[in-house]
Amino acid sequence: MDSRLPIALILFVLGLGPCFAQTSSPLASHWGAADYPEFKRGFQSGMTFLSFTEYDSKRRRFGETEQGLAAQAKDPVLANAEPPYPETMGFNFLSLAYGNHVNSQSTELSNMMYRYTASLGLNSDRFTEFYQNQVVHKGYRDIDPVPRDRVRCDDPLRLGCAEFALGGEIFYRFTNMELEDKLKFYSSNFFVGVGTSVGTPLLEGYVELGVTQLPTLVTTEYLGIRVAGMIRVGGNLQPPFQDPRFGKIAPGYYLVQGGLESILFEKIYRIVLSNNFTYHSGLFVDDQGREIRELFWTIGIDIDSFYFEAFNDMLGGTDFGPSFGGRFHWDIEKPGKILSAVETFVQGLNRSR
Amino acid sequence: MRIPRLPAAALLAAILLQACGTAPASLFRGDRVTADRDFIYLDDPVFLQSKSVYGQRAKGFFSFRLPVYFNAGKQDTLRFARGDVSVQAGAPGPANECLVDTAAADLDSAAIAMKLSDSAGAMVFSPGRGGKRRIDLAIYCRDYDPPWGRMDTLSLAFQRKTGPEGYLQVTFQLPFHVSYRGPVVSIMIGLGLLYLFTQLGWWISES
Repeated sequence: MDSRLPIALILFVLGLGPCFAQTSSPLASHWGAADYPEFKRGFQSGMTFLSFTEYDSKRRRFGETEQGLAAQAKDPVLANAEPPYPETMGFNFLSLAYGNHVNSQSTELSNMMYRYTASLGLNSDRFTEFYQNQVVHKGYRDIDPVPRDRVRCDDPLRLGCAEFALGGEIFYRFTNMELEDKLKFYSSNFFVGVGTSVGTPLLEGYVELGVTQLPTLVTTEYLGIRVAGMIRVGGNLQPPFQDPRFGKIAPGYYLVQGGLESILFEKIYRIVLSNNFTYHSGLFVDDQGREIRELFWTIGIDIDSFYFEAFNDMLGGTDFGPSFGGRFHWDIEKPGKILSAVETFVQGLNRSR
Repeated sequence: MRIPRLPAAALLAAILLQACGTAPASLFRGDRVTADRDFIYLDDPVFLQSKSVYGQRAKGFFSFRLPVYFNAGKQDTLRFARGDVSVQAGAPGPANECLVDTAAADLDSAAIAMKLSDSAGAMVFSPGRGGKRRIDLAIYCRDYDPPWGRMDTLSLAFQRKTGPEGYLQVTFQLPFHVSYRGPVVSIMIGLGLLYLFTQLGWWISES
């Protein structure tokens, strides 16, 4: 019996759908995950899995174009060229994130928040293939499985299959003012932010502007509707390691994300259901050097201390490349001694006058 | 496919306990205390650090932790004067007096009852100098048994030294409500909802 199977099973059970605005999972925003800044303070832990497939179920290869195939047919040299993305991969991350306000005596700077995320994982397609082919394609929908030729890390327990990423984000929440008996300041839901992620799959940096959890006129004790939207512009670099995960990546990208949240039974037992749509200008490039645009949709559940989210490129009508993913995160409500020490250290780093 | 149940169950239990951070009994039924909104006061010496915390309901009292920030650099001396919880406007009854302590350690029911019976146990402290200081307050409210969903108000009164002759009292008022929490139940409901929504998404995309 493979000892890794229980881990995969838990990931599957908990990852059927996993989250609205959440920890900055590496790569997840490029897979369509809702990536609004998280306003919650404290620690969160989580799991993320992302599937990158070379083929779709009709054996079309990700990144190949009609023009490229026609050129290959004419030119025998091109016919032997390596396809843009010759490997199928599964990214499986465990993440720990911490966010808080900048420690400042200035009231205005108290609206500035930071969030750091450390992720460790394995590159292994075992769980993602199982989920895609056995559960979704075969079990639920009875459609052809997605084939695999070359899979990165058939044996994931070796050094080259370890993945890690460190991410940081600083964002500023604009301020609302209230003038009643005295002046009060509240953090608003509009934000502007900047972030970076350094890891084995990708190096990136971005700026973002948007709004999240913005209440609408539908706000009652039992049902509330909120909206969110964000635009993010970023730049990418290949990590300075041999054997990069992706042969070619676009130097820059932008993504536009928008969605709705329904809040049920807010005062008694709060359940938040969310649905987001993402347009991504493309992290990957085709054999003609053009960015491959993607459309994603996501569903998320925010319940109690848990967050579930599933994202898929179904909206774009494709089933290859960055095809699907899921996240499951939970709040660590009572950090132990080690995490408390980490918290003290991080807060000390983020002190401002 | 044979699943080794012990490691799978251990991993799931670890996640639940990490998320729950408290006794296994509250895996199924507990209380969550949620503040009405994030506060940042311009001149008050204290503001809320965490919007959502968990509460503990027991016979004769209700307790919860509340991490707050003190803007210690703005006031030389600040001492806690009094804490109480008042029910929503219009509801009958006096405010419930609360004992406020630093949340250095978990207390069991007996210890809390002993603290509540000690009328001289009112906490007095002064924040130190140098930047904001976070303090985890543990608040124990006597004879307070809030129903889920009702909006109540926690009042924390502090005294700020204004000069050699006296103190000025400032009150931090925090509207909040108590709601249900239960990690095991929530995971089950969450997974069920995700399954339904995933099916709905496929149905929409196919039709």
